[in-house]
Amino acid sequence: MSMPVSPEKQSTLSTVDILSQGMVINVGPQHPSTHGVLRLILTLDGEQILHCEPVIGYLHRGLEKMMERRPYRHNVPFTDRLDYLAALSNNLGICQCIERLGGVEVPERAQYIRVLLMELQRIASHLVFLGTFGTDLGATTMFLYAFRERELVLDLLEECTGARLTYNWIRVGGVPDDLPEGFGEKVLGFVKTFRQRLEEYDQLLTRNRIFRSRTQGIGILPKELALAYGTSGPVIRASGMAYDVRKAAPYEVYDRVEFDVPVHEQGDVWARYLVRMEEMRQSIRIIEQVLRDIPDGPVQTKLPKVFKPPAGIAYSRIESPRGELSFMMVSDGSPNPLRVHIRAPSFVNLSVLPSLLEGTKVADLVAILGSIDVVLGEIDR
Amino acid sequence: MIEVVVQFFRDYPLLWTFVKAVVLASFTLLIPLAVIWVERKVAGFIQSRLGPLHVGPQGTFQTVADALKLLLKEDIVPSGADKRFFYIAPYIAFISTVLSFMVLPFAPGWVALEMNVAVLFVIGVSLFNVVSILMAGWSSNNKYSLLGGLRAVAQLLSYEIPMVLSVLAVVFYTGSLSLTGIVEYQVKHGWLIWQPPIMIAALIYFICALAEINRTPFDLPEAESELVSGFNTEYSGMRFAFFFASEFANNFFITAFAAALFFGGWDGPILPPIVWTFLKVFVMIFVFMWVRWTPPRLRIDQILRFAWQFLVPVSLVNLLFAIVLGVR
Amino acid sequence: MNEALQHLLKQLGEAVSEWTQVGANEVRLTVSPEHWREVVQFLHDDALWQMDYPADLTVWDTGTGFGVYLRLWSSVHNHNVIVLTSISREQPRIASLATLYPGLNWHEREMYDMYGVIFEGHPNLKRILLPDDWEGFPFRKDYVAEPSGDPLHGPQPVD
Repeated sequence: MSMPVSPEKQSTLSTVDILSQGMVINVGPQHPSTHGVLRLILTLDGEQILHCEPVIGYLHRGLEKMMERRPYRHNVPFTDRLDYLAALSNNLGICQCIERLGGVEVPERAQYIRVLLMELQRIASHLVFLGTFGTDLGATTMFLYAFRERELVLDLLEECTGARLTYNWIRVGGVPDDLPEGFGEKVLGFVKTFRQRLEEYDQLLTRNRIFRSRTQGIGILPKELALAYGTSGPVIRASGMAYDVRKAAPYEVYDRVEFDVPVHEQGDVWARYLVRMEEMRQSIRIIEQVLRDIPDGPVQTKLPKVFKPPAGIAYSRIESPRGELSFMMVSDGSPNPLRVHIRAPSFVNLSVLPSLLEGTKVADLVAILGSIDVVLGEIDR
Repeated sequence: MIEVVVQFFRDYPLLWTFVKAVVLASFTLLIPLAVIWVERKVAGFIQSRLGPLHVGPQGTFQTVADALKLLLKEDIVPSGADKRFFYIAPYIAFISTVLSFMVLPFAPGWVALEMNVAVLFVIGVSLFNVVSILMAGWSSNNKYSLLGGLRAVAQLLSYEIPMVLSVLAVVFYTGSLSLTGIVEYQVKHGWLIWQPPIMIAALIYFICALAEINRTPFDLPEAESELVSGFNTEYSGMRFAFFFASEFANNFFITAFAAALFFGGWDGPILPPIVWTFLKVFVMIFVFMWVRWTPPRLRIDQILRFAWQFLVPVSLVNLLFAIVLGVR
Repeated sequence: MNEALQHLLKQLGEAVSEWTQVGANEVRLTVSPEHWREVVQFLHDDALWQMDYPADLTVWDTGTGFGVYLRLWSSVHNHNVIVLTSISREQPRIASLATLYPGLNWHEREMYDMYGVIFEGHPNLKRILLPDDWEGFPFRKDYVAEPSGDPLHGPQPVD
C-alpha cells in the first residue's frame, strides 16, 4: 500500500512509485451513499482505496453549548435533532441523565412505556438501515419494502406521541401521558404482520447469493480493534463482543424482560447486517413481554416548577439503535446545566471507518459505511 | 394512393433510404418513451406502489412530459471538459443504437436494410456504444465519470466475448449470418430455443445482455449509490436525454435481437407477425426489469471474474457442441 | 471491585486524590493532571482492572479552569471507572490517551476544537467539527460570538 506522495518528493522516486500515486476523490458531502453530509477524502489506485480521511462537522449546530443556556427540561427537544432516526432514544438518554442528577424516581408504568417505545423505535431505525443498505448495494426494492413497514411503526408512534420524527415525548420523571386506548392491540397487530415481513426480507436479501458475496468477508473489524476504538451497538456485537448496555447496565425495566443479545464472530458487513436483523426479532420479543406485564399506575412524577438539581456530575447510558448513547451533565446547582456532553455512538463508530476501508474497493465503501449505519445529526451535534 | 407513394420512393432508392432512416431514427427516439413507461409501471408493481398515474391515462404521458422537460433544460458543460468529445459522446451512443436497428427484421420484409452479414454488423456497431461511454466518462473532467467509464469499458468488453460466442452458436447452427435468414430458418424448423446447445447459448446471451445494457446486477458503470451516476454524471438536458434514450432503445434492441435469434422473430400463430415481434420483445423486457428490481449489484472484480472464468469457457464449449450438432 | 480498588490505591495512592464507589461496579477517581496518563495506563494494563473500552472523554469549563472527564469500561470485569481531573485555564494541557485508546482520538480532537485543550502527544491534533481556520474556542464560557458576515469563518449574527 503506497501513500500519495508530494510533488517535491516525486522527482526522487522511481517510475514505479510515481505510477502508484493515488487519485484523490471526494465522496460527499453531497453523495447518495454518505447518509447525510459526510465527506470522505479517498485516495484511490484504480478501484482500490489506499487511504480514507473522514471530514465531519457540516451539520454542527453547537447543541451542547445551546443546552448550557436553557433550563434542564427545555433541552429535551434538542435531542430529537441528534439521531433523527431514533429521536425517542435520545429523549430517554437526556431524561435519564437529568433524573440521575436530580434523583428523580420514575413510576413503574412509565418505565414500561419507555421500554415499549424504545423497542418500536429500534425497529423503525433498523428498518431505515435495512432499506438504505439495500439501496447502497443496488437492491432498490428493499428500500420501499422496509419503508412500508416503517410507516406502520411511525403510525403507531404518531398515535401515541403525536409526531412522526421528532417526538419529544419522554419527559423528565416519566412520560407526559398514558398510552392511547387500544394501543396494545394495535402494536400486537403490527408485530404479527412484521414477523411475516421479516421472512420476506430474508427471502429478498438474506438468502440472495449476490447479496452474500457483496457482504461476506468485507470490512472485517477484529474484536480487539472494535474494543480499542470504543465502538458499540451492532458494530461491536458483530465483532464477537456481547456488549449491550441493556444487559451490561440495565436501565428502566430491561432487567425484567427476557431477550438475547445477538452476537456474530466474523466482524464483517454480513455479520453487522445479521445482528440488526436479529435485533428486530428480539425487539418484538421485548414488546410482547412489555405489553403482557405492563402494570397500571401513574406515568409522571410531580416535579417542581423550577428544577434545580444539586451540584455534581451525572451520566446516563442507553442502548440506542446505533450503540451506546451517553449523556454527561455537570450541574452547579443553578437551573441551567453547566455542561452537557453527548457521547454519540455514530461519532465513535465512524472513527473506525478509515482502518476498515484501507485496501478495499470503492464498491465496498458503500457497503461498509452502510453497515456502520451512521447518522450525521448525532456525529456533528 | 399508398402504392403510388411507395412506388415513387422505390423509383428513387436514395430518397427511399433517407425515408427509412428518418423513420428508424424517430422510432429509436420514441421507443424509449414506451419502454420507460413500462419500466416505471413494472418497478411500481414490484415495489408495491403505483408508479406514474396522473399525466395521461395510467400515466402514459409521464415520460413524454419528462422528455420535454429534458429537452428544454439548460445544456451545462463542465468548465474543464474536453468539449469536442463531451459534445458528441451522446450522439455516438444514439447513432450506434439506430444503426443496429437498421438490420432488425420486425416482420417479413419489414427491415430497413437487408444485409447478409447482419449479425456481424450488429456486433460491430454495438461496440460504438462502449466508445461513447468511455468518451463521456473521460471527457467530463469528473472523477466519478472517469471511474464509471473505466468500469463500463472493462465490463462491456468482457461480456461482449461470451455474447458473441453465444450468437455464433446460432450462426453455425443455422448456417446464416443474416437475421432474416435466421428467422426464416426458425419459421421452417421451429424455434431455436428448443435446441439444447442453443438453449445454453440463449441463457448466456441473457446474462450478457443484462451486462451490455447496464442493468442490475451489472449496473456498475452508473451505480448511483457509488458513482453518483457514473459516466453520465455531468450530462444534463438534451445530451443526457440522448444517453438515456439510447440506453432504453438498446434495451429494446437487445431483446428484439434475442427474439430473432432464439424465439423465431416474427413467427407465431393467428396474430400478425409485427405483433408477435413486439409481444416477445416486451415479455423479455419485463423479465429484464424483473431481474433489475430484485437483486443487489455485483462488484467489478466479481463481475469480471464471472465473465472470464465462467461465461467464456462455457460459451466456448457450447459453441463447439453447436458446431458439431449444427453440421448436417 | 473492592480488591481492585485497594490494589489501585496501594500502587498509585499519591496520584488519586479522591475516590468514591458508586454502586457495585462503578468507581469515580479524581486524579492530579500530572498523573493522568499514568493512572489510565495502570487501569488499562492491570490484570484486576483491564479497562479496555474507552467509553467517553469530555471537558467542561468551570469558569476558573477546565474539568476533564474520562469514562472507561472493562469488558472482562464489567467495571466502570470515571476518572476526573482539572487543569488550569492558562495552561490547558494534558497528556493524550489517543495512542493508548485509538477511540479517544476523535474525542480529544473535538475537545481541542471546542475548548482549546492541548492533548500532548496526540498524533493528529487539529479541528474536527469546525473549519480549520475558525478563531477561538466556542465552548469556553468566555467565548464571545462576534457576528461576522461569513458563516463559514465565524458565528452568524443573531437576529
